[in-house]
Amino acid sequence: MEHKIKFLFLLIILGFQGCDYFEMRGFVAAYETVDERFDQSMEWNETHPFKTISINSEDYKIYAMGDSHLGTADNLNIFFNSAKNDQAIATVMVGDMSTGSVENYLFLKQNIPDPDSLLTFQLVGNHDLYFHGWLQFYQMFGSGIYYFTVQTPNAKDLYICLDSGGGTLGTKQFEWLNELLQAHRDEYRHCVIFSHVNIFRIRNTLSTNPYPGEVMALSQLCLEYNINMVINGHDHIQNVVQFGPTTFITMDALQDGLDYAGYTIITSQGDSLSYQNLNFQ
Amino acid sequence: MFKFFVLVFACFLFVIKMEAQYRLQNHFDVGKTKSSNGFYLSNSSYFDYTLKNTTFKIGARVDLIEQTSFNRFFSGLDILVNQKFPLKKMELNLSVEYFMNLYSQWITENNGAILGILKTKHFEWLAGLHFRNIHFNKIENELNFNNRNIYELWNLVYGIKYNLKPIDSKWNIGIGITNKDYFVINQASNPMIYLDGKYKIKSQLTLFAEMWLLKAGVMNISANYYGLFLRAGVLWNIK
Repeated sequence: MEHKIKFLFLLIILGFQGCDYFEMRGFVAAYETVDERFDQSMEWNETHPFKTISINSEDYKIYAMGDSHLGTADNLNIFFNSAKNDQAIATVMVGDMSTGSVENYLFLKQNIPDPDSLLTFQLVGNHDLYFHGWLQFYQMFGSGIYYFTVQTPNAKDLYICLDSGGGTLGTKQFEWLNELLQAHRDEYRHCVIFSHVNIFRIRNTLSTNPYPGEVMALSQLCLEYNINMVINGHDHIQNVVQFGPTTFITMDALQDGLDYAGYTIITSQGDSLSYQNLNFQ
Repeated sequence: MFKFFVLVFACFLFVIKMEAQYRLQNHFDVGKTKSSNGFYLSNSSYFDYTLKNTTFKIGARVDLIEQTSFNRFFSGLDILVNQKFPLKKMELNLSVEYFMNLYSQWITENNGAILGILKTKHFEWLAGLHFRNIHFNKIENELNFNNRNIYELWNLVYGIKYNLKPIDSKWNIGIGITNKDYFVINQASNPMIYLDGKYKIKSQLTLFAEMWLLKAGVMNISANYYGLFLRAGVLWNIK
């Protein structure tokens, strides 16, 4: 009996090894530490200044999605077309856009609109790091940790994009975020944070959340600096909780084939910032 | 009648005193995590009172080195009631536990858990349910919000530990995996791996040491390292 179990286990491992979507090394741990990715992102940021989107109106929309897990890109293209039709000023992709493989990243790149037609911002998810996917991400999109600002005639808003693909922000990134908010939060009207891994565990799920210590540290930061929204993916199922001044939004996955696939629209109108979770069906 | 009650009460106290057992535990944790902003050092003390098979336990934690912006000293309180059920060749413990973490002047984490621990000759199994509440404390004239609480749904608590020698041996080495430690129950998807050792230097005095490795989510493929800490302590069976 014992031999049979061992044989079955070996067979399963070998079966997975033969599968295009499984890679043992990346399954166990990320290829690089989150601090190493931070260093590379900062290196990129030094030569690629943070973007400022200047608009003539007080009102604007930003589209956000996560977890497209390409595959196929039907929902992704509907999402981009909706954003264009709605005259969104930008879209944010909060990670797990791909499965991490080179072919998959190339397919993803093919489906991302030209910046002249629609501005897109990409973040790293855990699946994007699989198959040593960070190399592809860095080569195609550059930094995974940055911010962009929106300048309206009367105000400035801050949108921060973070790398939580490895399940933690890491020491350096957390320090960077803290310093950014401490130095500049006062200059902006609204502040929204995007990252991949959802912060709170409101439902029972196999997907991972940050350790309680990191959850508390992030909650404290959101409170201290009056963060309006934190927008995540990762869990695949929509969830919204209000905690203190901050609305924590976990978006539905955009992946093709899901009957609940969806995305989020952030709307700035006058001085108010609101969100709307939309589903395809 | 009154004298009778006094006599019964005195006998009761005597019996309690005769049968009760007291235990003190003190340990230091030193480590570093991705959210600790450098090294931390904390000290925890527990006092156990056991009467027959029932144990009442209370513990407190203070942070001696703490480099986050939380700026805290007294950081945790733990209360536990445990009922032991001796079985043939094993021991079952059922516990109800409440602990709180005072993360900062603004944030308190409240935890409740119902736990079952089964001890066999070499193995310790843990299973239970856990509930977490994160609360923004009300501070006068500042930070007053309507939504002050986050309630997580029940969370699975689990653990398995293998001891090299039988559990009651004079010395022992063990290895385990769990999502529960003193003052923390991680989400089910964040198990921690630990190695521990103990040595009974006297019949009533035991020294112990542990090393814990934390990874940012095993269910999260491509997970990054989160932290590591060491623990050293002493357990004193006073009576």
